[in-house]
Amino acid sequence: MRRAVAAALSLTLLAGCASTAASTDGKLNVVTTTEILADLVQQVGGDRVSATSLVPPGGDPHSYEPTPADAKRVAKADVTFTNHLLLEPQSLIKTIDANADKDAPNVSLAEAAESYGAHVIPLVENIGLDVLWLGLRVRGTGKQRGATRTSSVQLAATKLDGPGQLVAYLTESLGQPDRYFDSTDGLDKADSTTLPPAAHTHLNWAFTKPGVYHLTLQGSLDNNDGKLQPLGQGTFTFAVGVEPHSVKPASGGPATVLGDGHTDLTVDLDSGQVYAYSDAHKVGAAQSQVAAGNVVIDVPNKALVPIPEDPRFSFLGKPGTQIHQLPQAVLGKHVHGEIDPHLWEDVANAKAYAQLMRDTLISKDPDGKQAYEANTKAYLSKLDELDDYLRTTLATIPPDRRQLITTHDAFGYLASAYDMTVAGFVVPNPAQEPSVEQVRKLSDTIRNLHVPAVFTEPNLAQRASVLIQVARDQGVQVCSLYGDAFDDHARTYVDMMRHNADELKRCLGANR
Amino acid sequence: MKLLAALLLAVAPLAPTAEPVVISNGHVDLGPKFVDNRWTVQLRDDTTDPATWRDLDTVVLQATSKAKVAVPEDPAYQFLGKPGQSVWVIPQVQQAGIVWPGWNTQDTEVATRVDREVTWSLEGVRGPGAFTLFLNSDFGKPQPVFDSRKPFPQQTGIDVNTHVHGNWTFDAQGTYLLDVAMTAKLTDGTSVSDRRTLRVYAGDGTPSTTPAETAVIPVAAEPEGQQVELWWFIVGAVVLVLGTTGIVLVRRRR
Repeated sequence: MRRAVAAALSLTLLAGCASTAASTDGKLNVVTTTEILADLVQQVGGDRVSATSLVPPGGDPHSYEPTPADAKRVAKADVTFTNHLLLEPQSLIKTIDANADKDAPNVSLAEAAESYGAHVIPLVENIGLDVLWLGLRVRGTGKQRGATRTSSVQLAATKLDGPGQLVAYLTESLGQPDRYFDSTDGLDKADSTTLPPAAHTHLNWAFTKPGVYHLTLQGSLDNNDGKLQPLGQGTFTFAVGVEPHSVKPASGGPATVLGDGHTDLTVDLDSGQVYAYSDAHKVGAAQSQVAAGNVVIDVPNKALVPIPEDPRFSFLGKPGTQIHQLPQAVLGKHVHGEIDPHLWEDVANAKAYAQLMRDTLISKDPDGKQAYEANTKAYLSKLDELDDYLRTTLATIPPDRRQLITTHDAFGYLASAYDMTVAGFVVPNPAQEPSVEQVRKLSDTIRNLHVPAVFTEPNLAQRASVLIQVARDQGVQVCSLYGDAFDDHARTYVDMMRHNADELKRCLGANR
Repeated sequence: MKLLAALLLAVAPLAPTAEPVVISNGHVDLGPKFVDNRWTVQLRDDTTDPATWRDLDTVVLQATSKAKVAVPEDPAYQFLGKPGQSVWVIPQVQQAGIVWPGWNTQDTEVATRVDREVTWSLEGVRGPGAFTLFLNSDFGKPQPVFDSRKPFPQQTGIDVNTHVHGNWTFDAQGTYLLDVAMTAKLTDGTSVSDRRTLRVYAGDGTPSTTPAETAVIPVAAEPEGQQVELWWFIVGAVVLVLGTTGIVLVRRRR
């Protein structure tokens, strides 16, 4: 996108002196889709710019239908800014692309801002897949134990305690389930599986009730000599539907909570130990080992699924009953090529937007260069303060209470930047109607987590009714967060983000 | 052991310049790698220790009869064929004696330099039957990734620094040439892309000695019905016609 700015710049240069900031009042006429973007441009543009949004105050950008008057406004604009598809509907983007003057820079901010340091999150399509990918693994050669390539390793589930049952099973290529560990009929010899050395496999981990579970796994080595050599054993803790940071691991010591990425419950042929082996989160960093007794595996409410009608899965319970299940495959959780459009909920991204806006304005109005640079500098330091404010305010909320339940999926960036958890929402996109299933999942999530509050967005009053009802039923406080739009109380980006910080602290921070 | 035997047999007849490695057991991954600073689609072969990254034109994956299954009654699987029909399915989860091909974006340089995801596209398939790639989700509902009966190109995304497996299916015996491309935007804003041909043989024996009932060479304007035994022909032809019609070579090496 630097290229786009550069191209815009060269266009302006080609056009020469003919086009300097011509507008009704001599100001550069900037049109944006949303009020938030208009505010950012206004801060950067100052007196030289008049920035207005197409989506009216309090409107929902996700469902806004452009009017013929909008097309005229776009045609008159010197510069236009959109955020990204999936915030604005296609019809709005089209209105801008079709009507914008060919010499007017037309910048789609979200992706272009990446070269200014914006942090972009891929769009999660299926939140049920946005969970830990958990398998079983055998590591090491076992040479000192006499293991060869033909040896095999048995992993047995020897003990389970918890409020419900656990079934760890693999659904094979043609849809046939194969149960590895199944506590519904007690744990015995049948609840074991055999892996060759250096192998790993992925399983579905289904829990019939929310709560804390402890699973003990025992490893044994079979060198084809008729006897099993016992290796180590270890007890893993699962936080099913409950806040994992509030759960003590089996060892009683400090916990390592595993909630995303790829982890295998592992038996090591060399050390004989049983531990969790996780892919590194940071590229190039080593994989990590955490002793079984220190592990808490997060099985969040996102993982709630109804048992299907299919009789092959009747071992899980009655069809339609909700269970928590970590799935055997997590591919498909992201929509290919799509990103979560709500970048500004991380202040660092708003800073990237401001810098991209500055350079775009300069390309159209080079005479204003000094002014734009000075405005931006001042605004960026204001945003730095805002970022600090969010960080220090939200840090005062106890970790086990940093749960966001909202009307739509607009707070992934807020969660990622300020260490919150997106526990649930009514619908991913407010242009959708919630299904019975989604409402049920939401109710379960609120109940299981004992959240102190849920959050509605001022501009999504209609969507809020479901959330308010569910919250009332469970006696949970209803608070508000700004997502995609301002209202009468917050008229600037800085105001709205300050409100969000204060509201989160007020509603989640105090003791219940 | 089995692999070694297959290897020895594979090089026996015709032996052209390159001797393709046949892999019918163990773990391999398709994925991008920077080779001499150039973004290249290769195959990571974990059947050797340490792993070997191989050029795609030096390797053939083989689905033997161990991978042969009957299409189930379940209507969700009708894309594989009629119930009861025999098809080759290389499963998503490792099964002893069957090659286990996945795809990854975990090469350190790739994982460091790629922005968010790699686009994997299937640009075409040549072979005696239909090829599909699908994933199993928890309750067994198949999620299609690729289907050679649908229009090309077909695309899927691979998140950076991830490693995934799926079910690779083939509904007739013979060699399949999968024309694959991997494209990515790098964190420095530039884009990279590479396109190669992955060879998979469905059937027993060794790919070289199996009757030539099937494969078709990957040339666009090809007369119908001209069916030739897999890569021997291609490699051989390139050697023979080197310098006169280098098109096949150029196309394959792109």
